[in-house]
Amino acid sequence: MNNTAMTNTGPILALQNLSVAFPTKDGDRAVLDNISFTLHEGDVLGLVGESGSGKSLSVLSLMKLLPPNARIKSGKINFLGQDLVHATENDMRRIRGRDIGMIFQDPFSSLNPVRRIGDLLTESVLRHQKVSKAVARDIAIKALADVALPAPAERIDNYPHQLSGGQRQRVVIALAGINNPSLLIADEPTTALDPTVRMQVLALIKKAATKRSVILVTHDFGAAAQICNRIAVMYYGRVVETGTAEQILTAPVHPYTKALMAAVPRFSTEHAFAPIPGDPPKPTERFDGCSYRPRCPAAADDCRSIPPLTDVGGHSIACWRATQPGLPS
Amino acid sequence: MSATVTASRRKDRTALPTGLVIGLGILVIMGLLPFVLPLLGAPGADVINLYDRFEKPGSLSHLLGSDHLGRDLLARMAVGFKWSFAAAILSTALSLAIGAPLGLLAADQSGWPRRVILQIINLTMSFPSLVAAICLIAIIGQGFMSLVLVLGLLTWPVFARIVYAESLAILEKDYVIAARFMGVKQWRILFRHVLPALRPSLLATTAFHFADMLIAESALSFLGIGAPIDSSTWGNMLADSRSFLFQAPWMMLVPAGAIVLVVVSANLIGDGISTLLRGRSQRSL
Amino acid sequence: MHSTYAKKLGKVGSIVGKRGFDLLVLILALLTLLFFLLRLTGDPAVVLAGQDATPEMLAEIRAFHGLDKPLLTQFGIYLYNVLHLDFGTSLATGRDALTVVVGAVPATLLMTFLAMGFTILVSVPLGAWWGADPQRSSRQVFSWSVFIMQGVPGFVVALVLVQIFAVDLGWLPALGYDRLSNWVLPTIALGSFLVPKLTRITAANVAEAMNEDYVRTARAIGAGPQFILWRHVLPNALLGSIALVGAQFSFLISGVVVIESIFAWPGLGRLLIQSTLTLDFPVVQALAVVISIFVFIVNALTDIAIAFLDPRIRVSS
Repeated sequence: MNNTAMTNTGPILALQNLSVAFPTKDGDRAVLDNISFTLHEGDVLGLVGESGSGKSLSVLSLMKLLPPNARIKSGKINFLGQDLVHATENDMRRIRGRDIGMIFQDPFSSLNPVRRIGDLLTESVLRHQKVSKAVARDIAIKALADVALPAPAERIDNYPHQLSGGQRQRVVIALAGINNPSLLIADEPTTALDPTVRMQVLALIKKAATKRSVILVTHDFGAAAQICNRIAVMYYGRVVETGTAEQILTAPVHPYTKALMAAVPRFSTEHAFAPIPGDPPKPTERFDGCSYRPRCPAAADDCRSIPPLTDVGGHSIACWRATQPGLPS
Repeated sequence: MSATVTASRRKDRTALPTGLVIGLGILVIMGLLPFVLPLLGAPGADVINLYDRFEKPGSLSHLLGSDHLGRDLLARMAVGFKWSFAAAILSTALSLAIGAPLGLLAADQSGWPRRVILQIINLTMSFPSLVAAICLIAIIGQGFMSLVLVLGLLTWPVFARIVYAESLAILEKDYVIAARFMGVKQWRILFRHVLPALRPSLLATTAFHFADMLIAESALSFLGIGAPIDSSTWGNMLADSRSFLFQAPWMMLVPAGAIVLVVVSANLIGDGISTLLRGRSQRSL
Repeated sequence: MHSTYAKKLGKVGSIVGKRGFDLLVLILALLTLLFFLLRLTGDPAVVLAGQDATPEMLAEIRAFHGLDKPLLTQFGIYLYNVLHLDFGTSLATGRDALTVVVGAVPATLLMTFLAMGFTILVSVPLGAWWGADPQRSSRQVFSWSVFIMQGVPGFVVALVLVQIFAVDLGWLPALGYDRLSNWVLPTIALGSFLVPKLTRITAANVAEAMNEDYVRTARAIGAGPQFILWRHVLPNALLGSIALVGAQFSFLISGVVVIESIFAWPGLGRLLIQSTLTLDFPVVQALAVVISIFVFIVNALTDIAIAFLDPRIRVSS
């Protein structure tokens, strides 16, 4: 499967106008609204946004691991030439763990407490590769060594509770990459960790990114800045701005991106720490037009219709002010 | 959306759960039977009529059939309800009256009272209650009052344990600790904060415990250790039926059905109270 | 490896120690209660001699059994005797009370063993199936059936089983102990005491475990629903189920009393009913002690089993 990825010249992954909704008694409640992004070979894409912006749901929808009551309403997911929206559960089970590996947020709860970590690693190998149990175990030990877990040959027989949080997250990373997937998804991989461990885990993901494409879901611009070459900013179920990491970090255009950057605490005193005014919208609220309008300092009448994601000088912004003059900075 | 959620939840709250209504309905009907039946001219529970022995259910004179002495099973069942209901409700009340205060005391007094009470709860729960009941009745003798006493005295830890666990959780809540810092008296905290919060689980536990007591009472009577042998109780009726399973299976099915009906009703009521006051049903996991 | 083994043994030791202390307190409390209640509620000499005994006979019996001594002295002698495993002689048979009771242990052991096996074999698969997807409509119907089954007392189940399989169909014997076919109905009847509860708890544990993050991890490596249920979820859920079986064992013993009486099973339960009805107090007292020990052993074994099965307890003792 990796070979096909290597020879594929088009994007590895393309999401086009993906919409996801929860059916409720009074109609569908949209949680993802026309999401689009593409991922090329070697890309490290950062999906950045506040909690509730739909960044986790977008990666769960391409694993088809959405909550049972969520539905993909429309749109396309093209992964290595396969249409994932219409893929069956059996197809997805072949793809999960083999072509797409996933790293989860909380290393304390994402490992089964009554199973040895080696069981999980070898299970994944045996499921997707035709090798003997002994070979699978060797592969598992090597995977643990790759994530710099000390004494992997002994650790493999440990239970999760015998490891520290950072060590567990290393195991989760080893598990996600054990079958050399073409795409690695990391869903808030450092949020639950101590700051010191955070750096090591980010470094591991960066190392993994040398061999494959990565999507990093995070609320932390700092983490995205360290390892991503592309960034997509999400707000309330929509992508509001996307471009290269450099464009977004040095010259953000969308008012929300700017506000989000200003809200990152820094040590230097030049930038005053500025919280975003207002509260993030509740998932139950509905808006006409741009969903950032209620909090936006630049909101005007035309914001009552939804701004499309438009290409402005090499990066895309969904904001009426960005395409017109008179944007306050 | 948020508005509709609260609205539908509020609707669920005010509407009585169907199970609760059905359960209460069955208990009321069973309770009225012994008073209504004589008015309808049904034969008395103890009227022996050897010409009418082993009458099948569905006959005009005996709606639910008759037993080996020709006694009417419907009338006996109705009278048996009075006996079983009274025994079960009184032992439940005794259990609650002892268990709830002791549970509260154990939660409130963290020193030796808690240790002693918890140890007693622990010991009683680890010994089979029916065995203990039989041993005690062997000593103090059979009868209605000794049955109620023994069951009540043996099963209060059920209430004590629940009250203890829940009041301890409430006493450790921030608002209660804050109230104590502000100088609110301990008894006032217990009565204003703890007791009202315990109401849902106490009511539900009472209903479930009533069901357990009814089963225990009929089991003891069935074994010949509960009610006096000649009285019309469901346990005694079941014990009688054992010799006639071949000729008259309805002699077993009528009291058995009555026990199941009342126990399920009590469970429905307990479950309904849980759903009504706590918003979760024990049936749906 | 060596130290884990030592820790396991240490854990077992501490379980036995703690439970053993509780057992001693329980037995002492039981004996005290039985002794004084018996003295308070009537004259044991009358019980021993019968209602129409002459005063001379009563005096003789009092002297023989030491009933003329002060109450506390009597209690001391009584405890001393119990400590030497002397519970007195059965009033009904004249045999040593403890021997009579111990003779009934194997039959009860067999019945509880069979019933627990039956309960686990039925409840765990049913609970796993139910808890894997409790919202499905077929399982809603199932949940109602379990709810109603919980309201059917065990002795009613026993009587209905006898009615159907022994009386109507004539397939199985209703009474007896000697043959394998004798074992079937009592096993199912006693099993019915715990099956609904264990099924529901297992289902609740499975349903809860299904929402855990580690299930999502297992799905993310491509595991299918059956594999996840049996290999990832059930090992977690079973710990709770085993704990329940242990905690409910004394309830099962209550059931044994009823079921043994119905099926004429020569165990502790039937002996308890017989000796109660004949006011055979030495046997009742010996029974209370033996049953306490019985429950203690099962509870301790459950604790130990959980300590061995749960890796978290096993290492961090």
